[in-house]
Amino acid sequence: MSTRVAAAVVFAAVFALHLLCLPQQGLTDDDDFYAPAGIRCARWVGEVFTQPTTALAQPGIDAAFTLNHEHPPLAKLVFGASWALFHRGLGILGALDGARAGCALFAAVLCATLILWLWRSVGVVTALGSVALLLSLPRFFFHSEVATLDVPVASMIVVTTALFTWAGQRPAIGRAVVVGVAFGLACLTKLNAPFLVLPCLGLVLAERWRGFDIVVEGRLPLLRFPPLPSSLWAMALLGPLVFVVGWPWLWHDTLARLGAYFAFHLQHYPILFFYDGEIWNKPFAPAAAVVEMALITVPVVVVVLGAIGGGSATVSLLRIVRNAGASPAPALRDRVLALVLLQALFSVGVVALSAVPRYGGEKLFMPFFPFLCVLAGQGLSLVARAGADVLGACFGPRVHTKAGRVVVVVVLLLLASLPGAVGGARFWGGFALSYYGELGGGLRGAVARGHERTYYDVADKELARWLDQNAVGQKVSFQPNHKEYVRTYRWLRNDGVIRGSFTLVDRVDAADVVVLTHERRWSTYPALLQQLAARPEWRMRHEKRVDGVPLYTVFDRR
Amino acid sequence: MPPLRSTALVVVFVASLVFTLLQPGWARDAAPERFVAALQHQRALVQPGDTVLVQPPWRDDVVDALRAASVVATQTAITAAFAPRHGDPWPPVVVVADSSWPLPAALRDRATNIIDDDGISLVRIAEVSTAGPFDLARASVSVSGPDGDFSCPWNPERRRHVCVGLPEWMTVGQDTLTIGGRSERCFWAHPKTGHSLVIDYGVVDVAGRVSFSMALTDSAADNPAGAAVQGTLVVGSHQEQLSVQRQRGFHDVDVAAAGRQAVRVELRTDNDGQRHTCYRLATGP
Repeated sequence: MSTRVAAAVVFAAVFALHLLCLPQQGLTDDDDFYAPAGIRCARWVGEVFTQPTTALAQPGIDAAFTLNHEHPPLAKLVFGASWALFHRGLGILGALDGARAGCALFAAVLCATLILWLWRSVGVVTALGSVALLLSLPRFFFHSEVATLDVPVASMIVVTTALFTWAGQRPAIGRAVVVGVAFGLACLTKLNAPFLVLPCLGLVLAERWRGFDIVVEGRLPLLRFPPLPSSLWAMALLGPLVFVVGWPWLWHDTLARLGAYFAFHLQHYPILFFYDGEIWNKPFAPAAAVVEMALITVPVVVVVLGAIGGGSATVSLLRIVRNAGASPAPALRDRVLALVLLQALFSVGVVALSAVPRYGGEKLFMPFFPFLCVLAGQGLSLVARAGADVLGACFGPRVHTKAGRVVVVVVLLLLASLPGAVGGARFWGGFALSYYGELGGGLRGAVARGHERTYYDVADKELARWLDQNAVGQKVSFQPNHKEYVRTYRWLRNDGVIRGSFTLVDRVDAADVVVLTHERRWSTYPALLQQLAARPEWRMRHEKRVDGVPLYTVFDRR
Repeated sequence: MPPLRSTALVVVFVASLVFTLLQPGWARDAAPERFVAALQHQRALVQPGDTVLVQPPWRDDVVDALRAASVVATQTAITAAFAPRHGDPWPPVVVVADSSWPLPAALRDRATNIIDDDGISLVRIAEVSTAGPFDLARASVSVSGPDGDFSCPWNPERRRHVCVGLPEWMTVGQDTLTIGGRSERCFWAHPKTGHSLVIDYGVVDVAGRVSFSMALTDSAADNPAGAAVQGTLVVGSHQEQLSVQRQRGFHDVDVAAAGRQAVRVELRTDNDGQRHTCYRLATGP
């Protein structure tokens, strides 16, 4: 099978899988920020063709892009386009699900890119393994089906990284331009995209460090740098250009708006984060929190395979450093694995080691997960080879036939993907953010250690439908953070997921029914639990528990 | 014989799968009766004002069992939910934990001399107050005015005084608020229209000078329709007043005093619409 056909098949299968699954997913509190902004952006694109003069004037641009102008527009534009296609055009998805299909599209592009990138450069098993393992991660799967920017930016970072190694194979201006444009598009997706350039620079330094030299011209010693690849120059030159050209909000008052964009993110307001049994705000949670969340929110088998693949990638990186400047140039396999390792380390390191707020479980370092899965795919490939050796020693040479190897790979792939897939099924329907891997002791171990049992104020449809049937005519309050549910439940009503047989009220004392979501980052949570669970005027009516841990509890007034 | 490296890789992979299979069954929940028995044996650990904290946090059945068994005084709070802010002083807590499960680092780092009673761990955590003489938890807080007097007892779970019978924003406790464009730690104290909110620290040791700073949050200070908030610092027989209304940032007054002094803060306003007020109190030479 050709690589392109395989990539097309994977793209279609992953996109179809997400389209089938996303109507069941719960809503995050970010869906209501990005989906409406995306729909407005998409309408503006339509107006550019129908009423160009009005649309391209500043009032027209501001009307379309003021909403959620803290974030660049690419992913939102895709959300808007998918809303137009799947909701308005084909009518097969609700309004929000139509927008969320845009995120699924990014996830499918990401998986297809892994196939195109790795199939020939590293190997078929690594390529297929990385896709299968990525799809098995419950939290990543959830993030792939909600209208947020984290999976889109992860996808764009992987695409740009893949293109960077592709351009390095055969340096040409055309390839460099493609990398520069892709980098600009990644920057148009979310603020963490520009950091992808640092590992690329790291790889270049590893390859060319012997090119540093001190030369004496006249009396002054000068440091001579090795030449940089044209794709890095293209990133530096074309990236900012694409960023400004691709974001109509910056077409007017460019400097002021750019300044406001950077200022917003440099002084990002702190967000509460419950970690190690305490609420962190300022100071932010320690760097170790990021590393811990990266490792305990995925199945242990993926971590182990990632470590094996990481070892292999480290060998590749060391080989590149040792042979720097020698001919022939490093093998593509080594370049790809080394860059994957650097990207994985940087995506976690940027959040762990910089002075940025740390919150939201794993969402801030979403690009880490595809790179981890590439390393795990490489680990799987090595284990498959080792497994064939071991089985060959036991059962003879037939294991080493092509069919024998395929059987070994398929069995290992299933075994490696199964823990995540089972976890995904057990936390299905909007509870995936409560999934913890075995290194964290599962949900129970993580909660006992003082980690948050859920976050993102997820409005799951299971509860919404239960309330619709069992709280008819009643006033319902979500605690401790009611305001987010006002926004998400509006979508559930408008999309016909629920009839809206109940009304939402902010205050507990005005409510007939209170849903306690057990998000412990809110300092009011202990008193709310005390008030609802220990006072006679309230009784528990319904509860969602996984592994004995309550994820939400519904109380009603006696 | 397969190469050692191949065997090692296969063993590591299989070990990770075995770990995956076995891990969920490693720890089981102890029966509530064991918690009750353990706390009965170690009842002397619990002192007046303590909170009994059940671990792990999903054991609401243990909370119910401990309440039903009346092992500790009825006014002792028993809870499985405890979420202190990092950096804040802790109230005294007695942890009653199932030893099968790990403790959060925040508890583990503070827990010394853990008692093990048949698989149930018990430990009392009581930090030395870092609040200096102005320990809010020990202060007496009340609201008085034309609608009557309201008491605001200390709520150890919310880490603040909560005024009984008044709106939910009528609390006094530490917060992080935006003041003067920065995140500032100070004590939230919202006055009530026409009433006097009194935070009485009792008689405390002061060291030459007592400083009182007061501010509105930036959004409150920016509200052109907001009324003034008057703050009064009373130290012994001396008092100083200040008023904040439409200015961002803290405003300060000092009272010179030394030795044992009665210290009290009073806040008033004619209209409590968005009067998000915060204060600080310090003493020094």
